[in-house]
Amino acid sequence: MSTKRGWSYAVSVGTCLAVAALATAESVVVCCKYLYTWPSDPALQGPEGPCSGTVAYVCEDGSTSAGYTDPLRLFHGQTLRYARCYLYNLGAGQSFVRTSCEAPPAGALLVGSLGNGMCCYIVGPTKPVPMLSLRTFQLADCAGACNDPSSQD
Amino acid sequence: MSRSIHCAVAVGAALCSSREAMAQTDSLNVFLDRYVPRQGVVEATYLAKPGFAGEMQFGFDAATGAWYEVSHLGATLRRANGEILEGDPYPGMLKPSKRIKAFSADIAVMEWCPPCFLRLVALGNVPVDNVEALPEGGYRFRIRSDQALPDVPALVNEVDASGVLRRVARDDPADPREANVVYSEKSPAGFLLRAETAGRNLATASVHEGGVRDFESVARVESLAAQSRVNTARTLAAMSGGSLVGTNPADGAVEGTPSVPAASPPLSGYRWPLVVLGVVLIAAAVVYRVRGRGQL
Repeated sequence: MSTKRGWSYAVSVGTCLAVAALATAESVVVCCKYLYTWPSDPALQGPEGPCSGTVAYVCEDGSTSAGYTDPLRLFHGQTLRYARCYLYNLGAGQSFVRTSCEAPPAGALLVGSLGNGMCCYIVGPTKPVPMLSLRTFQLADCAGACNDPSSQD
Repeated sequence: MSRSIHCAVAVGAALCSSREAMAQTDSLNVFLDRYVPRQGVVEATYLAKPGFAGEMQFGFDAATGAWYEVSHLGATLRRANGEILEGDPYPGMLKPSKRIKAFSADIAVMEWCPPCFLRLVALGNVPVDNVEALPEGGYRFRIRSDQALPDVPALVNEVDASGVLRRVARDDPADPREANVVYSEKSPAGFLLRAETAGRNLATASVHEGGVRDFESVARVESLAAQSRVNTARTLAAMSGGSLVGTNPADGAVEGTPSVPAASPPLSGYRWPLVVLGVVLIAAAVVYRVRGRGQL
């Protein structure tokens, strides 16, 4: 009887240890860093939405350490991550330009992606200097959301 | 014969128009020279609004027209000889700029110190046209921001009878963005400073009557930029409740603190030893079980 119990304990402990080890495995980094969101607060966007007028607020989104094929991601628990946000207030000589991400205007500064292959830029003789803020987000499954392979971590 | 007369009249008219424009510009410069500061260095700090980080610092030498601008993104130094230096906010990064001409970059001064900008106009550093005297005194004139960027509209400025910049508009009927210039009550004597620039509010300003000896020093400006970078990083770190926050300076954010730790839990370093131990235990149990059956 004690032999059977010992055998059962050994198998149970061994199995638990193996599962725990797999559960602590690092996720595969598959998500891009430069996904963008544009909070819809009217005080933080121009009169025609993101990339219009003289003000724009854009935040980085997504995760840098979550694998969308990771079957054990639930065991990793939810971890708060910080995403950076940028608030642009344009000077008199600066303008927002919405154009294809494939064809940025000469000398323009990229503000962020608007989706559908369109990007927001700032043009002007002087460099815009955004103010910075932080927002938190949970690790997210961002499968298929990468739009710039070169920006993967 | 009549064609020659017409031609002479047309050429004469163009010359007259050109001379008139020059006369008006000269008149503007003489007017401005009476009111703009011609001596002293003004330096100012603008702080980000609550909930945001990213201070900016500016300096202007009224005697020479040199100026600088620093932030967490980097620094720009405009020397009296027209040279523009730009770079990231680290020692040794300030280098001659190939991106922009001095007269285009001078627009930046208008965003925080309009009388400083008018001083540059009076010095002849900034090309102006469409100059007209206003009935109530003062002038309206247009500045082409950068002739290399035709899509960037020129700026139309109105200066009142006291030589104070009051209104700025874009020479673009679709988006004139006309606005009154608002000055801060914290402006030091002799230099009216904007209350707000790039979303930031004027926090402190000081004037050095005798100038600043190393105002055009690259090392000094780089040091100011590095300090701005550190200050911004500290503000961001405080926002995260003391958590470590790090970014890449190349993408417009702030460096200076370590990166956010990866999502790996603390036991990740013991992964493989745990796997091996588990497998060994299972194997030992199986072997023991098999041997036990064999002995029966």
